[in-house]
Amino acid sequence: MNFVLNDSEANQAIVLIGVGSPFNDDTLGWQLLDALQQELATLPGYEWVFEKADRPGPVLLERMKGYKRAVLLDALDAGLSPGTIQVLRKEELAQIQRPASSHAIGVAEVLALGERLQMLPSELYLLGIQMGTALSEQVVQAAVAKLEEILAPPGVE
Amino acid sequence: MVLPQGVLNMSDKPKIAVHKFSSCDGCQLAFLNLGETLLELPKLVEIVHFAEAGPMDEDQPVDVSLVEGSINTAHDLERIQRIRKNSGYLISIGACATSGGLQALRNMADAKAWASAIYASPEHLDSLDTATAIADHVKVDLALWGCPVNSRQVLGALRDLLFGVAPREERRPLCMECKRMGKVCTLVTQKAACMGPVTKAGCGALCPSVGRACYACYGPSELVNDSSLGRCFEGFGLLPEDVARRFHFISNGAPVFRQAGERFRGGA
Amino acid sequence: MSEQRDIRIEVPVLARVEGEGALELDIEQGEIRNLKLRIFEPPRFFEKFVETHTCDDVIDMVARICGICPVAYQMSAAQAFERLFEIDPGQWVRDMRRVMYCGEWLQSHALHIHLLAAPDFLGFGNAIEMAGQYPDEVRRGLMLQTLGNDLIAMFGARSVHPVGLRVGGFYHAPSLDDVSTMRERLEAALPEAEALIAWAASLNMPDDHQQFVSAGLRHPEEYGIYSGNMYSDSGLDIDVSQWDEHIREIHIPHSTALHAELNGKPYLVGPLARLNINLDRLPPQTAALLEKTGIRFPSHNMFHSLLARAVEIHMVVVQACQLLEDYGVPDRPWVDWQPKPGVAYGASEAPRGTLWHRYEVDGKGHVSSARIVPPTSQNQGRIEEDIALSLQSFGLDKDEDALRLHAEKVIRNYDPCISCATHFLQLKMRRS
Repeated sequence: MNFVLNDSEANQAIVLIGVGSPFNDDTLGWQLLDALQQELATLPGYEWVFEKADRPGPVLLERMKGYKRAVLLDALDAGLSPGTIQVLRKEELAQIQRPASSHAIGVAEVLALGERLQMLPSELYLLGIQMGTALSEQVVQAAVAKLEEILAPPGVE
Repeated sequence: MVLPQGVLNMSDKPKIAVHKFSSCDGCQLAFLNLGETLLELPKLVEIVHFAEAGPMDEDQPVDVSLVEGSINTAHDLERIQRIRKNSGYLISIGACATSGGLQALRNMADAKAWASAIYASPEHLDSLDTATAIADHVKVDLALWGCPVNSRQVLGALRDLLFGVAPREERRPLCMECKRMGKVCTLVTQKAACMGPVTKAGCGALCPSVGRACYACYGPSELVNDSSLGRCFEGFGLLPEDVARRFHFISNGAPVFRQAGERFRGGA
Repeated sequence: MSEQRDIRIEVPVLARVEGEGALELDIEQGEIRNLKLRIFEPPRFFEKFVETHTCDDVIDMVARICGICPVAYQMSAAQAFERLFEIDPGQWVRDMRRVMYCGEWLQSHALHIHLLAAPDFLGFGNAIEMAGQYPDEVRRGLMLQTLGNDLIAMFGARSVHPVGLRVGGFYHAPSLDDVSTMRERLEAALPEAEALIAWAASLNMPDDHQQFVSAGLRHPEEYGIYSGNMYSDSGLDIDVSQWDEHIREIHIPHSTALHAELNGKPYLVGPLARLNINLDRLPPQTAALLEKTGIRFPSHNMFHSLLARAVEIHMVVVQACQLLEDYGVPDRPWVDWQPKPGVAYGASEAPRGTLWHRYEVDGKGHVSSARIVPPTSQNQGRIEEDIALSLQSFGLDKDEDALRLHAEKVIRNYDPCISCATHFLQLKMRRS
């Protein structure tokens, strides 16, 4: 079975996956996804697929399968100012010593596994939201701005 | 996983109901034992039916129904159909609702003979010959196993639904939980007949935490290798009927456990 | 007086009585002609399930009879087997079992008072509504309930169907640190329990004195919780093995539970009965608090049951503090034992009253037959008697809603755990 798709076969939509667990600040990824579903409707030129996952573990790889581009939204505890949006690239994730989230088998570990198995989308980003504050309009706009920044405009590769 | 369309309308407070069938009440207590959180819950959801805490309106349509207890009577059968019709999302909670509970043992026996043995006037009893799981009668959207179910799991599932996320079902065996928690393996160190290898994780490895073997109150995990485990128990000195009793215990109604026990009872 | 009326009252489920029950009431010519309390909990055949199982398994199985008082079932069963096998688990086990039991009384009584009974007395539909106006009282109740649950879990890893008890003792002894933290919490709870007694005594309770026999376990030194003789204020004082010679069980048509009679008459078990027969066993601090309420005991007003529960809450917090004071971790929290064939008898006081077990055990330590008499069965006859008397003194000419509500209040005093009536309230009333 061939897990590795070449870019032309891959789904051209961008999959946005809110990752979290039902406890306190760990729902930030889901909350942001809900907010983005409203905001991104007005952003022309992209096709989005929205997903949410509760402590997905390796299943995350399944969720991203077939997409050329994926963005994970997750709560982050990196000692930043609460509400800060931190963008991490796939290459950076593998280097993180401690999980970027508080799940049993962390997102970082899963992505490291995915990379080794060549199962990851060719473009993968993690949008981490520093915990410690409720989701505000400001944070949502910051996330939208980051998304626009990291995603190549349509038609340009 | 996609949630049924319109399960929860986030602009209104979701309505939930807690229903009891034939049970010891222990799973409902998971709610009442939430302590202060119980007072916070009405801020997030509207509890329209929960007899034990007061609110009573069994027939109102709700977004989420939590169902405890097994189906034991004709009246139960009729009630669960009504409840399913009225529920957007149905969660069975606890051993009784997910596999018939300890009382599913009667499914293997001659219920009429038993009734006569215990009740002097058994003709006054209105009960079916079996105690069965909710899923045997209606579609169940999420099964939370355990005897009792774990309050944190119930709360977690509700909160998942509030965010429009499909709750996750645990399938892995207890061994994984023990290892993650650093518990000493009772099967290996005590040669105890521990059911952990074939039992769902989720309880927090309670029995190994107190140094005793798991007795499978959370039901079967995925990939139950009963013949291997049973042979292992026999190696510890258990007779085949003792092994059978390990499977025919709290979660005896789960088909894979039922069959496993029958195989050992039959001397297979 | 007035014209005779026809009344039909249907109360499909009695709110806040666990499980479902039904009450049938016929009033003819201004008098009660027929009263039947139907406890309809589908029979779950527990006495048959345990057959062929080992004694340790049976301890886990009988817990499933009741989610609110699993510890009581485990305790009655464990003691029965230990008596038959002539095992003495030692003072540490005895003391710690009492402490664990204190946890169960604490959580069960706190649950009943705050979630089930108090809303009635204060005119609320349920506890959630009550919490709006009495947040401190409800929070206090929840705190006490949580404390009770945690005390159970300290020994048994969880509060519903705990896994700590075994024949001969416990699987696990809590650490010194755990006990020390628990003691601090118990001590902090004492003033709360004190305030609870005063609050309970201040509630507006109907004046409804009746005649009945109070029964329960009585022990030479302790308040009857864990063990003792079966005792009544009508002269009963027997070892629990002689239960059958004095207490008869009958199965009557309208209920699936078996009813019990002492000398051919109904009797009362539970907090009010216990307090009535154990007044001289209260710790001095608790006795003083009861005295201060000005409410006289022994009491034959069932509405004082709520106060009795509050008094017992204080008593068990005091008890648990005392018993944990010189806590030490034993070498091993259980003793070895060998099974012996024969008949095992055991009884202890569940939060709702005396819980009696009888088992026949074979030479390999497997149970061959079982009989269990839960407290709610024993109270059945008394409840019916009470409703009849209460409604009569309340006034049968009152309107339907008032009668129904009063009947519900009366029944709630007994806190009938219908799921515990191993072998609700639809009120069908006909008046002509």
